[in-house]
Amino acid sequence: MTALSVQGLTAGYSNQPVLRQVSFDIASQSVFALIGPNGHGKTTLLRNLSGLISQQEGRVEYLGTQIEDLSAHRRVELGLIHVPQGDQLFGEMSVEENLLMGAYLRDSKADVTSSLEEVYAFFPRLAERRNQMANSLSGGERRMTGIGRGLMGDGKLMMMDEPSLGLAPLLIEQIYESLKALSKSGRTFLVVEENPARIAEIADTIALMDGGQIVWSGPPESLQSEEKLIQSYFGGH
Amino acid sequence: MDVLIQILVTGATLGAMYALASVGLALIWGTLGMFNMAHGLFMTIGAYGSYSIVIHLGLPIYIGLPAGFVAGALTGCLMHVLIVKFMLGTKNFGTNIMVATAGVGIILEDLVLKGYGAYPFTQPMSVLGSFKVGNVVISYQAVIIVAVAAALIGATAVLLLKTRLGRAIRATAMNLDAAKLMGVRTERTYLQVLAIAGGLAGAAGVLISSLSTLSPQMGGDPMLKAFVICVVAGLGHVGGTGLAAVALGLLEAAVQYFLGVRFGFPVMLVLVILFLIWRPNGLFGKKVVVRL
Repeated sequence: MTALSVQGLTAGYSNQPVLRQVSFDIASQSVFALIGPNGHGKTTLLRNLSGLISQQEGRVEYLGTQIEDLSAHRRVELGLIHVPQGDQLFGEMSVEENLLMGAYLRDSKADVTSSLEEVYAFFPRLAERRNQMANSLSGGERRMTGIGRGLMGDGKLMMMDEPSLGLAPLLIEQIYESLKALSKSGRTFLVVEENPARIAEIADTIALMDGGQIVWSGPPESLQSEEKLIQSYFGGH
Repeated sequence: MDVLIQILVTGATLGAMYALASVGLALIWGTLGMFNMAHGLFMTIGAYGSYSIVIHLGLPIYIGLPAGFVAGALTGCLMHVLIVKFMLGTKNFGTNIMVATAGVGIILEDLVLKGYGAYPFTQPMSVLGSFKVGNVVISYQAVIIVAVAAALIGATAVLLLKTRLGRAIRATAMNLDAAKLMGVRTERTYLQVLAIAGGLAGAAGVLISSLSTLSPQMGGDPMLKAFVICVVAGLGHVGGTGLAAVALGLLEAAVQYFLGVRFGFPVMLVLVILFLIWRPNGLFGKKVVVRL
């Protein structure tokens, strides 16, 4: 089954297209990784899919529903969750309030409480920091809060924009361990990443974005053989 | 001793009214990044709304205060639906909305003038009688003003800090995009903020007019003072604004006592100039928010 199907998407800022005729499908419960150099439309694509910016052309189907004309909050209601780049936490709220904001649209208090416990079990550090203001957290804690906040939405498709950005190598490993565990949780993931080697370990499909277009996609194993491709985009990894 | 009590009582009364008048202004600034020049008219309309409910419709006097709140809240909603909504997110929003709301203020003042005339009325919402502490006479009216303002500001604080609606408002103020990604309908949040701020201003108008009179221009002076308070506190800092309001109320009472009544306002204006030069972000503000 297809979780997300994007057909001929053209979008950008003030009529200046950043994305040009982007098409791809994401299978349910799979991990779809979007890689490629900076400034070539990966973040714009996620911002478009979550409804923060509108598109000029194309169709987006999420679990059988056309969503390209829906507002951001309707997409969240449908379980399309976007964990944005650089965390975008609510700085003057506590960790717990940030997590509760992630469950803003959920009405059942009991469900929200059990999700909160799950997130604390998943990231025990957040349980220790629950009353601390988000803007006083370390980089790793901020990232965990951002991901935890996304998990609180109980989404079916989670889009993560560079979950390892700006973290020390040890922390990146930890975050990737968490992602690996999450990828077996029955959710579908769309992960934007800069480093192809790292994401290849957990992705089912990898797509390479360049100049606002998807120029290559396939299973991670076949990316290894595309040496020329990797050379040209990432300078010899 | 009596002097101190006198200053405390006058200062608390002024501070309570100022706090109620300025908290909404700070809330609007903090959430929408707009300086609402029509805020004084929210107060005027609250005061006249309350007057009309009691005098023209003959409803009991205790309905007057909630009526003032509702009148202010409705004015806030209308302003959002008719004007603010269409300007949000446009280029130079901060400047344009100031001009637009200033226009709204003038139109509303003219409407009040046309509807009620220029002649000042006495607010029916006043309680007679007083008691003495030492040699200082304290009117029941002053006690009621402090109590009502404290209750309304307390309720606002609980709303902002403890409820889902309040969390959505704070989230929208802190990070608009992230709030949208949580599923907050931010445009509705803006409407709610203008309703709450309008309601608080309306109630402030009722209290302010109960100490003086109702007139179409009555909102101008408290609006200016609310602006001073917001600058001293740091624009958009709601909690700090309440504290700064009480502090400035006490300062004004002290200045009035020692230097004379007419020096109260000039001293406040000097204060705002000093703040704008040396501490433009106010006592509690970190940086001036500029949102496009």
